[in-house]
Amino acid sequence: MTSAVAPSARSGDSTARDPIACLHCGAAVEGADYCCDGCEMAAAIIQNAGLAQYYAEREAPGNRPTASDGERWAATPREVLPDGSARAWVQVDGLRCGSCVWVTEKVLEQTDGVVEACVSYATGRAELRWDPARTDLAAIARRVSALGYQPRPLDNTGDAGGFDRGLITRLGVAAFVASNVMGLAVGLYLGWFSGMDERYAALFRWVSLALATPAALWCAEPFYRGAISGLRHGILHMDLPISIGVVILYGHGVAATMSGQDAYLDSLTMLVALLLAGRVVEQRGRSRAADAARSLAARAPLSARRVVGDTLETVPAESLQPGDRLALASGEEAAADGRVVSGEGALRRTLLTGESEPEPVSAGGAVIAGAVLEEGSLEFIVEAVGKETLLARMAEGLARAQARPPTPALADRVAPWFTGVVLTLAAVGYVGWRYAAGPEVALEVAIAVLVVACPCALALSTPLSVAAGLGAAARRGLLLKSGDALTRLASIDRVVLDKTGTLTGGTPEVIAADDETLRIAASLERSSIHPIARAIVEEAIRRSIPIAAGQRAVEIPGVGMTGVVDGRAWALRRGAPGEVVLVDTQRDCVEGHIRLADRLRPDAARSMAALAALELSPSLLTGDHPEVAERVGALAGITHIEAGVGPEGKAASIEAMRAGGERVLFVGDGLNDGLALSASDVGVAMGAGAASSVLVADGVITTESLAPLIAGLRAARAAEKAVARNLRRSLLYNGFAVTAALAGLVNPLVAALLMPLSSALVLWGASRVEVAVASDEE
Amino acid sequence: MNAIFFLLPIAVGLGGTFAFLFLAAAKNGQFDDLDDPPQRMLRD
Repeated sequence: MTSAVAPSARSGDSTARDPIACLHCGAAVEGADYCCDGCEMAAAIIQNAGLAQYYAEREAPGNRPTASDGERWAATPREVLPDGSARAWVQVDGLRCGSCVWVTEKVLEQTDGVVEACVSYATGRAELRWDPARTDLAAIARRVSALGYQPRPLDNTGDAGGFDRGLITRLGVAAFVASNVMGLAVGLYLGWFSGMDERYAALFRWVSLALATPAALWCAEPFYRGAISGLRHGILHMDLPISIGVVILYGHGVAATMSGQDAYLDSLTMLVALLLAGRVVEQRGRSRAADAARSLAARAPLSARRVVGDTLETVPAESLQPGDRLALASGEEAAADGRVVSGEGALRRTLLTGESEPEPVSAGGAVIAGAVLEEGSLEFIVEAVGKETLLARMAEGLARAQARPPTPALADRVAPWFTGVVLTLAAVGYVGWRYAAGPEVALEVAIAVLVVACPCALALSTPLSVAAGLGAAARRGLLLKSGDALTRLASIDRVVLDKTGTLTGGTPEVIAADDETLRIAASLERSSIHPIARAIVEEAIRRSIPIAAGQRAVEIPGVGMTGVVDGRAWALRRGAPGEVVLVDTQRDCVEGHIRLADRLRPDAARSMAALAALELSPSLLTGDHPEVAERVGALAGITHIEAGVGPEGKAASIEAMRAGGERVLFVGDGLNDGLALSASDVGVAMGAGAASSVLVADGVITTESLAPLIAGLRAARAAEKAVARNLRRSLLYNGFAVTAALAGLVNPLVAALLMPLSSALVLWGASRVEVAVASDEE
Repeated sequence: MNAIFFLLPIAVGLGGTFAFLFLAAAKNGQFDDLDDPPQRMLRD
């Protein structure tokens, strides 16, 4: 193929300005515009769709399209709409910026048969509507793959769920009520000073009470419910003093309005509105992370190809029965556990073992749901399906093992004694003033104490700071499932990393080969998009070896490559594990070896240095050989290495570190890391790893790098600092205000001025988190 | 000054109308996704 489709926007594309960068993916390439046919195809699709602008506007280089992953789309749930079109939701991985979303949408919309394509930037979920008579989901998915993004079937429909509209509705009502009541209160306060007819004052008070009633009875309901369920479980948390405050404020408001006195209704409504705003912010951060984690976990294959007589039929995975005979072709994922009856190949069990090297299987060998057949083809008899598969049982076991009690937030731990102290002080104030000035004044003082002590700022301090921390981490690629995880992340002493898929990216690189072997191999592999081929070509370019165009190069899936270079016929074949051999096919003798190893993530060494700057020591924990572990550790700059440890060994090592008083953060992928993820104080999974590790982890790294981990640690520490600072401020405010109330200096006007001041201080404190994280990054 | 007796309910009623419109919007799912539309606007 010639490079006739060079994007006209080359000059405007900062990532492709380097003369040897592939125009699409930015990889090093020599003597051509594209590194491989896949990138050239992707660029051609984008050009032909009239979307060349993408190259000028994107913020990150494109992904290199990989071979179609053989996902089966026939069984993806879809609905048929009244107009005859079909609709389904698909998860698209690899979207890196707004331009990626744009180009995907536009290309799909121009695809024949697609009625509508709507891709969400936040979640990567695509809503597709197409005409079943003109195209099918598999064709649409191939189109997405050709662009370099990875579509996956989703077993849930588009109903994102998770988000509770009730809270925001309550907030809307509370905000409306608060602004009106405050307006009336301003009128009343001015009336104190300039004199006001009692008729108007009474009107203002009664309207205020009418407005405040829904705020106290309906908007504040979540707090009442929280307080009651807390009491029922014997826990006194922040909702209790809030509820006490709101009830007292409202009760006093009703009594005062009836007797023609001024009430604290403006403080009440503002308090409810502010607290609800805090809840909404908190909930948004949480539901977003949970949503993303859920879509990452939706990875199990949804369909299988069943052998019926001489033919194959595609059936949904849930209709499979033990005893069914299933066919598995190269690149496909097994939908059930079973035993091979015919054929052979190499199975990659990354999902289960975390190791990316495929293992050979033949008749009699075991197949595990979720394992990918890397090469060959086989048929197997189903032994276990659905919840009975090893994968499902392990995931379930891990979920149970993981049930750890959440650490109460700092503010919640403060709540019980806070409540106690405030109630005591109110009683003391009542008793003291009763003797000094009689029961009426005493009641006023006691109520003033309870009002100003209502822990609005205190209750807002944690959720706002934590939400700010969660947001700062999420924007940098680390999604944490709860604010609790963020709190624990802030006090970590040791960072333990898995090797495969965590420190290394799961892509190979050449570690040993002679130049001549490399030259011939690279010439053969020049247009292949297989990861091993890419590694060979890149190494040749790195060594400045001229690459000839191989002739009659043919890729034989699962075997290797054949072709003619310099007039001689060659073949590249799989040799010993981690090795590729170059064979002269005419003389049938081995001419050279190329050794490959997993490549360290490009930012691994930098991230380890950043950990040291945070005064954290990294450890490497791996099931691999000590030799391999030492090599990777030396490259990354990790000195504490434990190699050759299995899943239980990893968990035991982490338990030992914790027993030694260290708080441990574990980062891993594969299902074999599940135990370690649960055993650690905070477990973070790589998003590209096994589905079940994503389920048990406290957080997920959504990009293919370790930088989000560092950013997350910084965000957690900044949030922790902000929480402590906010707690100090709000306790200081409460101490000051309660003292003033005890001295009889607080009336509704003073309370109305004090409360927003303390809340504003807390808001400002929380807004500093993002600033702190951003300044740390410089 | 007596105007306040009917102006105040009108003012509260007007505010209430907007509060109701907000509730209708929230029920419609206007606030479910605040991340995508800003991106979408830039792309189109």
